[in-house]
Order: sequence, then structure tokens, then C-alpha cells
Amino acid sequence: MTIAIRLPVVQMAFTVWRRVRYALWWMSRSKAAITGSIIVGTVVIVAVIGPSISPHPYQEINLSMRILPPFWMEGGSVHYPLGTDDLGRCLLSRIIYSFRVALIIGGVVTVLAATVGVLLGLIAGYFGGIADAIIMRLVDVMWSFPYVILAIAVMAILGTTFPNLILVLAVGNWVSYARVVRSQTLSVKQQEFITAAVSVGMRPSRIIFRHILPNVMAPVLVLSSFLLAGILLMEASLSFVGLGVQPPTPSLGQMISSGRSFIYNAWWIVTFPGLALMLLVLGVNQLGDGLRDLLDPRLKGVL
Amino acid sequence: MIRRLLQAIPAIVGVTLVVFLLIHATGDPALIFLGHDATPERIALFNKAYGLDKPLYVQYGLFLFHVIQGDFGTSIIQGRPVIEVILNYLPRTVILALVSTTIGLLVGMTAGIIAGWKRNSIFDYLLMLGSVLGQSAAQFWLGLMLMLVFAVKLGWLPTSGTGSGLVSIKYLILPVLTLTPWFLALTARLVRSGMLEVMRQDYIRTAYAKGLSQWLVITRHAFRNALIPLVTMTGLNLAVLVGGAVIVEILFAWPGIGFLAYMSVLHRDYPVVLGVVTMVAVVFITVNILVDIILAYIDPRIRLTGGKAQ
Repeated sequence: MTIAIRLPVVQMAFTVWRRVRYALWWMSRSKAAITGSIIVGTVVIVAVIGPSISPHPYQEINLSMRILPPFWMEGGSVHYPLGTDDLGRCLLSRIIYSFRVALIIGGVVTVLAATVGVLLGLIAGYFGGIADAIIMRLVDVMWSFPYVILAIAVMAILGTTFPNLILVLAVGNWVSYARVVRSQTLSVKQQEFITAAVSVGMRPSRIIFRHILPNVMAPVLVLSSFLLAGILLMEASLSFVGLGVQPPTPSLGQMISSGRSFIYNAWWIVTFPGLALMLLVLGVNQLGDGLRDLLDPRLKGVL
Repeated sequence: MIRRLLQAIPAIVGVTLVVFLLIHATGDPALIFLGHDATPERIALFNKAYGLDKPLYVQYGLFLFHVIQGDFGTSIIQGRPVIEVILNYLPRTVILALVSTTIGLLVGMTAGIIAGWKRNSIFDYLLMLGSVLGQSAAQFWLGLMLMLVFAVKLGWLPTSGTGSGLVSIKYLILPVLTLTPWFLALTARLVRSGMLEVMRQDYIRTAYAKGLSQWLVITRHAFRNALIPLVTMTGLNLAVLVGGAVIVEILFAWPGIGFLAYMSVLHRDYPVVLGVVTMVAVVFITVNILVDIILAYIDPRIRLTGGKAQ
């Protein structure tokens, strides 16, 4: 005799489990996607619960523990697993907190750049004509801009505030979205279901958001993960030359920069933050590779 | 062709306009250079000398008018014509860009061909691993790690500077080693995947069946498939590097265009910033047009007249 399970909670749990299992199976077809999501997932968890698992508060200064080597070296201490910097701050705790800073910046910038870029790309691709011409000239301007010089100039001249940093990074990245979405829109527009939608008198805004947008989401998602990798590296570079995240907020680029003066006697201060950054970027890149292979292998040449 | 050239003009005008407005957005250069206790007469004199007393649009119009004649104004810091200052810094950047692009291209192509030919060999795996890691490391950090090993631990190479003369090999090695891996990895990947795509196609089998040697099949037939993205990326890489590998140049105190741009921004040397940005934009657009021409030559399917070659 089988007992039919009627409890809604149980049924819901089954549905969720089926979805998760499907998602896992779907991901499991790409090695890159698995590696990427494990790395990124771990970093996200660490960044969220960071302060409660880190050995010390990130800003805690202990002058009697300055320039301590990592624990396996002579003179190292297990209380400071990766050693300390020139002010006796725990490197591991600072790296953990920097993950949070990097992910917040990366997330906000990606959403901002994607929103602007996708919208402009949709408009340019769907309407064509003057709107297309204006938007594409704007893209041309951004494309031929020496972006790093622009970023340095904006940060130096307008000030190294957090909103400016977000803005600079977003300005450098919306262009790619606009280009990709525009070309995708152009090809989707050719298809019959769009002609059908137009012929039944659907408003352009409805066609764009209900019919075209869902069809360009796959490349946008893949593009996002590749751009996120670039954004993380760019933020680190700006912080490295002192024009990005400002102390007391720690960031990986800033930590590498401060370790530079101690490169002769403390290799670990420059090494570990860079390794951490590499791990995060590696995870994001792998995730992008995996998503591309899973969602749309044809994108291989484009992205 | 001519349409491409005409399309470039609004881009250059736009780029300079953005920088021009940005530069004037904050800070009065007179106060920055003469100090906040400068007398009004001296400020007036300074502004007149650099044309800063005219309205903004007149200043920008004059700038464009002079640029067309090849005159970028005078550097406020160095007191010399901007064009002279840029030409002074340009050679070192060009050397860096050419050397690192050439090495990246040669080594990357060789590695990519071997990896594509001996697919799934240990060499293939190591190369792919290396390229994945190489594309994830921050360039400035890679430079620091090289510095740590070759300058600090082994003491073989200097950490920064250029040495005497235009360029000395000893000082060139670390910046080149820092800039090359990214492009090398990219080249290897492009060549490898281009090869894999065609290796199983009929015309490759035909080529083998005709009795062509392995070498000829690979170079004449398989390798060609990777050529188009490779030309595009080489152009892009060269343009980006000439535009100044800013962060790497700062790291190694390498007096090139990127370093110049950084210093000029910090010192508010506006004419130089504008000059550098304009020059870089022109270089970038020129390289892009050249790439399109080369592509049309390699692959007759791409024509210059129809829309954007993408």
C-alpha cells in the first residue's frame, strides 16, 4: 500500500529538490561550470559570513605583531595563519573582508552596466535609424577611448569616492552589453514570431521586453561573468595605484600595493592578496566558460 | 573605406570632448600651479598665457583647430610643446609593445599549433591550465611576483627604471615578461581552437590523402582557420599596449605613454593629458582600420564596403 503524500510542505520540498537536482545535472555537463561555481560559491559564502569566521577584525592593529610570516615559517603564529602586514593586521582577515568589498563592487557595477547597456542595445537594435546611429557613435567613442587613462583621470580629478569608482567601472563596461545585445536583437527581429507580434498590433515596448529580451538573456549572462572578471581586475588595478577603494576599507589591490614597499623582507604581504584575487577571477572566468558551453555553444567565437 | 575613415572623425572628436569637459569639471589650474595665495594679477597672467581666460567652447574650438595643424599646445609642467613631450615618451612604449606582442605571437602560435595537433596530450593540458591561470592573474601582481623572484630573491634583474640610453635589455626583461603572458595565452587558445575546428573536416583529409606532409597540412590548411581572430586580437593588443600599459608602466617606473598620462593627470598637466588621449584614440582607430584591411585581404568573404566588419 502506498501512502499518497499530500502535505503541501512536503510536496513543495519535492519540487524544490527536483529543481535543484535538475540544475545540478544541467551544470554537471560542463567541468568549467562545476569548478567555477564551486570557487565562486565558496568565495561568496566566505564573504557573507566573513567577519564571524575571520580570526581578527580586519582593521585590528597589533604593533607588537608587525610583519609576522605565515604560520608554517619560523616566527609565524597560528593566530595569524597567513602572517601580518606592516601594521600587524591579520592578512587572512583582511583578505576575507576584501572579498566582500570586491563582490559588492563587482555586483553593483555589473547590474548597472548591464541595465544601461542592454536597454541601449535593445533600442538600437529594434528601432534602428537615428537612435541606432546615435547609440553606435557613442559606442564608437567609448570603444576608442584609452579606458585606463580615463579611469585614472576621473578618479584623480573628481575624487576617489565610492560612487565615482562604481560609475567609472560601469562606464567602461556598458559598451560591450550594448554591442552584443544590439547584434542579437537584429537577428531575433528577423524571426517570424516578431513579425507575428507586430502584425497583431503589439506595442514596441511589449515586443521588446516580452519577446526579444528573453531571447538575448543567454549571451548577456555569459558576457556578465566575463565582464565581472575584468571589473574585479580593474578595481584591483585602480586600488593598486591608490585611486580605487580607500582605506580604512581594505581591498586586494590596496593590500598588494602596501606590501610592495616590504617586498624585500616580507614576500607574503604582496603574494597572498594576489593569489586570492587570482582565485576569485579564475572562478568567475570558469563560470563564464561553463555557462557559455551550456547555454549557447555558438557564442564561442563571439565572446 | 572612405566611410570608415569618416566614421572615425566623430569618435575622435567625442573622445577629446569628454576629456576636455572632464578636465575642466573641477579645479582651477591657476590655483593648483600658483598656490592658493597667488595674487589676482598673476592668476590673470597665467590664464592668459595658457588661453584659460576664454569661454570653454572657444577653448575647445581652438584646441581642435590647433590639433588639425599638429599643434597640441604647451606642457604646463615641462614648458615644452606637448608633441615634443609625447614623442619623447613614445619610443619606450612602442618598444615594449612590439617586443611583447612579437614574443607572444611567436610562442603562442607555436604552442597553439602543437596543442591543437597533439590534442589531450600532457603538453595540451599544461598549456590550457597555464592559459586559464594566466588570464586570471592581475598583471601588476604578476609583475610584482616576477620582481620578487628575479630581482629580490635571485638579484639578477633591476626592479624598475630604464637604465642609460634608450633601452637596456636588463631593464626591458621584467616589463616584457609581465605584459606577454596574457596575449600569449590568448594566441595559443585561439590557434588551438581554430585548429581543432578544422582538423576533422573533409578538406584536411583530402590534403592528407594527396600525400601532403603533416607540416604542410598544418601550416597551409589548418592554421589559416585561426588567422582571422588572431589578426583582430593582435591589432587590439598592439593598440592597447601603445595606448600605454598604464599600470605596468607605473609599476616598473617605465617612462612610456601610460606613465606620462598618469603623471600628467596627477599634476593636472591638461595639455599633455589631452594630447596623449587624442594620440591614443587616433592610434586605436588607425589600427582597427588596418586590421579590417588586412582581414579583407586574407578572407575575401569580408568586404570593406558593407557595414561593419565584425
